[in-house]
Amino acid sequence: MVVSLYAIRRYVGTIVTYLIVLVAVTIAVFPLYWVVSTSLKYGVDALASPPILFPTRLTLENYRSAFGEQGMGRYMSNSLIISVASTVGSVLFASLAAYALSKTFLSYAVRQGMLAWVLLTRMFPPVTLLIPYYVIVRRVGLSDTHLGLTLTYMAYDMPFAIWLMVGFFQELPADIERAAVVDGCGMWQRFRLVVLPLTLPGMAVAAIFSFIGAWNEFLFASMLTSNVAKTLPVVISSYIGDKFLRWGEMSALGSAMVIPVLVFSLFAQRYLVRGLTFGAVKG
Amino acid sequence: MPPHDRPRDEEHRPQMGVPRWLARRSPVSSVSIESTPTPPVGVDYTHERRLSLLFLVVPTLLMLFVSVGPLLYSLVLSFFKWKMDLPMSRPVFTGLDNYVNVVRDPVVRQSLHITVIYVLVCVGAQLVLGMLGALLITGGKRGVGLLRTAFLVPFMMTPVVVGVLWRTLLHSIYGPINYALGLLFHMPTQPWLGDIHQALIAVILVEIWMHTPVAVFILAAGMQALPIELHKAAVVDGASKWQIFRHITLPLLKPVIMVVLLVRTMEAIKQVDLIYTLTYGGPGRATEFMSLLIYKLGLQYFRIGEATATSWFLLLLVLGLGVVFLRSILKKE
Amino acid sequence: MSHSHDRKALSRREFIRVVGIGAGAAVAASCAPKATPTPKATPVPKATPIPTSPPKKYEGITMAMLMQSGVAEEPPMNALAKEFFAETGCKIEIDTESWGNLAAKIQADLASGAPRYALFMNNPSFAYPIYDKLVPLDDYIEKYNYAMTGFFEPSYKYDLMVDPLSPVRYVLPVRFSTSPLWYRTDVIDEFPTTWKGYEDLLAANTGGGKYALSVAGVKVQLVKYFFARYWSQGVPTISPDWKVLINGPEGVKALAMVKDHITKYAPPGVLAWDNPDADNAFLAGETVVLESWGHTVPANADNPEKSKIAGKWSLAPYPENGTADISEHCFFIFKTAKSVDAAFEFAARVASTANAKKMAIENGVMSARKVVWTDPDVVAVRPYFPAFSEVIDLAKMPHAALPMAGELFMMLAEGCSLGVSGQMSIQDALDETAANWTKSLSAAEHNYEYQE
Repeated sequence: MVVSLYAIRRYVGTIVTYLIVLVAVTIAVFPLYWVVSTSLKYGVDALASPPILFPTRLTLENYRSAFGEQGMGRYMSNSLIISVASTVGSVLFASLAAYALSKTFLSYAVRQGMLAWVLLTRMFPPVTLLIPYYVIVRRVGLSDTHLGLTLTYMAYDMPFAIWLMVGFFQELPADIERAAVVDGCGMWQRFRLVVLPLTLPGMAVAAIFSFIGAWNEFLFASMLTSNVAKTLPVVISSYIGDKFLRWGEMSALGSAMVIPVLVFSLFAQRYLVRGLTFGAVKG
Repeated sequence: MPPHDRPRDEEHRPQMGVPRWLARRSPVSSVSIESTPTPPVGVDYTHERRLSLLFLVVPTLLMLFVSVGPLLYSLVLSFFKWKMDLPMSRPVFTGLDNYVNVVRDPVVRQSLHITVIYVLVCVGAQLVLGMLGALLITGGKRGVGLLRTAFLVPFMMTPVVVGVLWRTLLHSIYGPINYALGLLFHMPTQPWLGDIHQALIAVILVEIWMHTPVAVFILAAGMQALPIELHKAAVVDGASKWQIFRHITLPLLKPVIMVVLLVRTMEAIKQVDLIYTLTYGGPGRATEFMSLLIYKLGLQYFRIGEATATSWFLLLLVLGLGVVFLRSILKKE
Repeated sequence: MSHSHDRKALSRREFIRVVGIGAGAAVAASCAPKATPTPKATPVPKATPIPTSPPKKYEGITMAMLMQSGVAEEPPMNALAKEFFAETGCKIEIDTESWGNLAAKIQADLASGAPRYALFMNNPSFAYPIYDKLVPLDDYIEKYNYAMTGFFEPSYKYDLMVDPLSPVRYVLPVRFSTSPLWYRTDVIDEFPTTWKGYEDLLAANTGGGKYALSVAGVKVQLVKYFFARYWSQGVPTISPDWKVLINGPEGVKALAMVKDHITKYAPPGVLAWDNPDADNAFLAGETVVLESWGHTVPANADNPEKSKIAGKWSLAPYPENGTADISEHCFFIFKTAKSVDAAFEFAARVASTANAKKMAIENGVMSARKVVWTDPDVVAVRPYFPAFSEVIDLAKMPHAALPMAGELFMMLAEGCSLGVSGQMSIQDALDETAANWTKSLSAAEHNYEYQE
């Protein structure tokens, strides 16, 4: 036998893997391709039968129309500011909280209470909280402000981030912290220098989800903002009317909105890639 | 002592802070909640305790404001009858009437039925596909970065856009999916979202498409944080890839899997943006999930009492089932 | 342990510094935009050589207005707001919101105790539930000599509320519209005037992969098709003594007709189509008849870039006196407005005959004033207007002045969808809707006879 059975199996296995990857990537990316290509098509071509997969004539009229709208620059910066601020805030405070929660000497009741509360808030449909919350926000004077929406997003993202990070913190063997203490590290230092870097994958994931969540959130944004702090998802939903649908502008804005998310997640993924191991604890 | 010989129970326990009343007594102490990692020696407890509480202040305050207040208010309102958009309307106390009506309502029952199907199928598929995807992107092969970004794409788009986009993709005349199906499999044009049976399937598929990346990335992050020594040791011992996965990776990933299950279930139950733009519950009530039902009750009909009661009913139901489910899972340990 | 104590103290300070900077940056970023000037760019005042002028009438007043986003009236509204500011010094900030969220926004605004909005423009059904917070406009109409002539008949009939016996006007109509039938003139010579004729026409043009009818089958759009077939049988949806009639034999026949027409003569999947999908199918020449609002088709049908049926289309009313419902946009003013006079003047300006004509010519806005539809200048630009206005004349607005009007509509939408999609039998679907209607109507007392 020139080629062993084992080699054939491996070869087939690789091909199958690549096929699976190809199919998966196509399924994942095709809709995005469709939105982007729609945004570059003329209106007539966008809804054509049979559908035009590879447009031959392109136009920027949709982008011009969407971005030429009054106040668009402000809406974009609003979305950016609020998303970044709420991501930084929630990941920061969530990691601190998760670290505290993973500690042993805090009263058991406190820890369980916190975790249960986190679960509860995440499960409740936000729509029922919407109007009472809006009234509270109005009374406090945070309606239509960046701070109001940022704090709202932080409050909703932190539970998930805490859940995620508590899991990561608990996966850490205690040896590491023991070693750090032996070296004379205080709690802050232990957290900053030892624990934090090892849970960066978890933080990266939490950051990506926080950012995407805030960037794309619609319900609270539409209720809590009207003019000054209006964000892009609200603008997008305004393209849907009771008698019309501005699909051209919607696809243009929708495509453009993916770019900052792409950039941010590429940046955050560097920390996912670190593939940190517990090399510090080699036997 | 080589790493893989050291007993792992005490230190490397995946338990996510399982509450006492949830865990069952089991011979293996792996589920006992008392055995959290022993604190490092030489630490000033009181100081650190105070510091820890400080760490918890900000999240607690925020969540109190944003969640507790409105949540309690909504609970109170669920005992009232209040049609907010009628002129000069005021809440009227009705006790448990709202809850009784919710339990009796056939519309709610049907909505629960399809919501359960939806959540089970979606979360199950997302977990399995997520695991596959996580394995793919932690493979360390070339082009993994590109793969990562590609897999994140469905989750990156605004749900409102995704809803309209898929409506176009599944369109009976202009949609490329029907076109492709016709070309590849000679299938006639399918109504998809225009048919009461296919609509549910279509919505499930879109939801799986959109949120599998969440599972992929959480699981991948979990996999990355696992100690390599175990894998190396197992390979040295001659275990196959599948055996390594099944007996080492999977058990160690249990807490992460739990996170994925919990998070995805909660999100699937709450999902409104997507359904709103995809089908608005239609045709008929084929895709009227509980979350949409509550949305309509609250923001369309302004029947605040009924909306809040239905929300709390759903919440209690899910919590109750969740407790039962978790108990049975942990018992197996 | 002094060594480690020092290190602890240092690192804590360091950490606090980092956190503080981070938090401060976030807060500063959040607060920064507030320092920039107000969102609406200050309009460049018209060239007036004389520097000093007498104080403007409503100098320094700023009010907010809420309207639906993306409608044809939006650009002219913004332009008129600037004009108003230049002339009177009163600033009208126009907030736009997607249609689905308007009701929630209004309710939340009112519930907050310090309402932001002084003006609102959209369906009168938004006004019905909150009329106690609105300003009755009859006095202002008199005061400012606002022309109440030339409107469509239904506007006089339906816009008055609360009690038809002693009517009070709370709204100023701006836009009127209904849903006629659009058809291909190269395929159909004369549009049939009977339902049988219509069905024969549809059947003749369906087959071999081609479909005759284009409709928007999503829930909220099905209602108008039901109304068209229901009202052509000459019955109201509610009897004068407030009994719900839609689940009677006429209702069943009407909904069955809708289901029949859609299932047999419209393409598959039409129940997922919204207005643009239906309009586009007609504009692309896929179908020969379209039952839809006139927002897209007339404006684009003769544009070769957007339609394949240039010059080959026309419109017609429903057979046998059938008619869809009226869609109206109107202004209303909240009692909490800083200056009701200013608000009224702005609304009057927008809805005046002169501006209505201008908006019709420039933006294709379908005015509530019938005179605009037959004005020669307008007809020159929009030749389909006269025929369209005749269709509007026949249209009805059900449940006028009822606070539960919006709700009744949504319930009927759900019922129609249940029946047409086959999830329930037609009779069951209508029975459920009728039960819901009865429950909804019982929430208020009705001490007058119902008139549709």
